[in-house]
Amino acid sequence: MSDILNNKIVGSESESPVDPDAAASVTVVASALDRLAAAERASAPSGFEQRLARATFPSSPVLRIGDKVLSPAVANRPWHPLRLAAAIGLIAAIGAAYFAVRSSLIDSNANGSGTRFSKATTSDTSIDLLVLAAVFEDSPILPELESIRSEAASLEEAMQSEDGFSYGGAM
Amino acid sequence: MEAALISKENHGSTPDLVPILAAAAAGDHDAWSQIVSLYGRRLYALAKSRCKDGEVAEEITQSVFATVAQKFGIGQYQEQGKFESWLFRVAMNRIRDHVRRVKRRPGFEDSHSLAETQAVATPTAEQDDPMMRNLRIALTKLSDSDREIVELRHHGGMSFKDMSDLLNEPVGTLLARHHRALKKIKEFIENNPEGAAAAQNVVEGSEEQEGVAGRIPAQGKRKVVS
Repeated sequence: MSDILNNKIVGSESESPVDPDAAASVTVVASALDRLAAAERASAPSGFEQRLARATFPSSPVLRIGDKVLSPAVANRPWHPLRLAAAIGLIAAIGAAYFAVRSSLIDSNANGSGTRFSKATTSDTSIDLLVLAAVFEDSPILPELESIRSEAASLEEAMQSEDGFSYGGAM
Repeated sequence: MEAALISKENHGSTPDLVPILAAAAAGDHDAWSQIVSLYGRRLYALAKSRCKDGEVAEEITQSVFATVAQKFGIGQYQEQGKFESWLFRVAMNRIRDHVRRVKRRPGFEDSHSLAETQAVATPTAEQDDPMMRNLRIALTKLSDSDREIVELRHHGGMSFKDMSDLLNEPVGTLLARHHRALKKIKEFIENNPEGAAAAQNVVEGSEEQEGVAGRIPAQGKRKVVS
């Protein structure tokens, strides 16, 4: 079959009638390519096929696909009571230290009951005071807040009288 | 049996592979060795022609047979009379992958031209032949698809029918492209004075040794055979 096809290459392709010289030169190229290919095959290292067959033989792989991979036995090392006690003690110490640091931070940032006060900007002072008044309406600091509010109101009035502008915020 | 197989290896004269493949898949080492003997060097030559590196060619060949062995080992391979096409498809994919990897490397152009130079300047007896050198250069001038056809046919020793299965192209198309590729190679060699002289030597040598000139008219007459 292949010989027939090969002959067909020479005789049947787009050149009719066939130019014998052209066909001859193409055939020469084909035979030269065959020689080149033979040289490439011969250039394989010695023992190539034997090595290849050994390396790739289907039943030769050390680990076949589908085989289970057995892990080495995990060392059975029971916890020694002293080691366990030391671990518990260490965890307890770390926990205690954490809570101590946390509570000290809260104390340093807190005002009595732990409520935090953020610093308000000057323009927000009136609003903050209103909010504080609402939140601490029934608390013991209300009189103090009232005095602060009256001071703020008087300050605003003084400023209005100086430059004629209203600074909003009905108190 | 092995000798018979090897003697038929050129241009894909297909021996009865089915029992050999079945035996190899069943773990018969001799059968596996026969398959390797039949195709090992053909795959190696194919890979070496494209990759220009014997070690890479050996790696690719081994990788292809490892894939075949894996399919055999897990019972995935079903013989449908297309073993050779499948084998060479695996090989071509590996070769293409390798070529793509090489092309992505920085400074590929320089290394590519260097590889071409090395390919034609390696001081072996075969490569000292100017015709061989010119053929190697001419192969690099072909388009990838034309080069694949030429290399599958000559280096891989495939039949056009198996190439048709492999490349999903009609046999007639492959014949035409192969013929055109040979003409391009011929033109390249003719335009190269050194190669033309060498080609002339080859023609004269072939005429003396093999009677090629006497055979060509006979081939021409056989063109009616289809």
